[in-house]
Amino acid sequence: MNLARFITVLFFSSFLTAYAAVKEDITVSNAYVRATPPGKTMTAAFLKLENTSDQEHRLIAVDSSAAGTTELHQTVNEQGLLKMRPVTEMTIAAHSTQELQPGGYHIMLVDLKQPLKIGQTIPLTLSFASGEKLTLKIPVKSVIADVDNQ
Amino acid sequence: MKQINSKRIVWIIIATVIAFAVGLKLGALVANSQKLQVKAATIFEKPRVISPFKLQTTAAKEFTQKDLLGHWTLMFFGFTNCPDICPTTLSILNQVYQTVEKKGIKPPQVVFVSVDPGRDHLDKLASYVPYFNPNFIGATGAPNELKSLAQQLGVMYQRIDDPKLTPEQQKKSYLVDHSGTIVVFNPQGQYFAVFSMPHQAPEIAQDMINITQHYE
Repeated sequence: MNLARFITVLFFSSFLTAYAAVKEDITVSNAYVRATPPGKTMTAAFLKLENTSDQEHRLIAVDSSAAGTTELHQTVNEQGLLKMRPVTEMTIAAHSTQELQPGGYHIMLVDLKQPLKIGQTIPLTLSFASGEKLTLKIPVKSVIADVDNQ
Repeated sequence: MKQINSKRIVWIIIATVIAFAVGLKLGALVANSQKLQVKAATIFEKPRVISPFKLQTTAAKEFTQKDLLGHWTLMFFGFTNCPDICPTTLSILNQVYQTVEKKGIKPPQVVFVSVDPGRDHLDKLASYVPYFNPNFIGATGAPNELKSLAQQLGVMYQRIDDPKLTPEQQKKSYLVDHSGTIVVFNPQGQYFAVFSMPHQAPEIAQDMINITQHYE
């Protein structure tokens, strides 16, 4: 392969990468947000992201109009001490699944505009490093339910 | 004749002693086979006596060592502004409570202790904790009381401020790192066992059923 051809291939492959669509590559499932206990204005949302493509995707921001602040968080267990921290991004490697689930990654919704009740839905936007966004409507579920379903 | 009789008596005594010894040994073997079986709990070799403590459940009601007497207690430390671990654990504890109750066994008393007394006022705890189970008790206390109790139980917690926030915002918005362990007190009010993360409701429920039945 001569250099010119190599560069051409490189050029087109990067072109292809830039055009890879999150909408086609990423499947979102099991998305829900926890109903709020009385008096609480914050809660957590969970979902599963499956990347069926040959390239990785990076989730870089989350947003919901239901909350004043929406952040991607991770709970880490450091020798028995549980630390919940904001994370700047989450990578979904090629042909892999990342699950946001209790005790791990979660979407934290702070300063909710109103209490979340079972049966409602809230909008949620996931922004990826590619510049694309996925907009979802996720159901409000009881916190008790996700334990029963384990 | 007399001699034969006394010999017989000696033999009877020896046989009785042997039978008794064998019986003891067998008894011990049976007892051993009925040894307390647990999956998730770490039970201390000797239950630990803890020094007196005083928490508040409502403005009018204290929660002290006396409230541990006569029943098993599960205690968990957290804060109500915790969106992930605390609601998850309280839900697990609710499942444990219901599973034990369905078995016809007296369920343990469940106490959620807030290590964030600055924000978790008693009225807030009173509305938050029963959401998970109406029988659960929400408690908190003076910082020194909380610290002393937590230290004795090997529970850690630490307030984490966000340096990007203004001092005014920091008063309202901070995180609390905390242990995820569930502490078990026996009906004598002693620190009996601990459940470490990750928690699985069916395992904890089965352990509590076994523990309760074993000490009945």
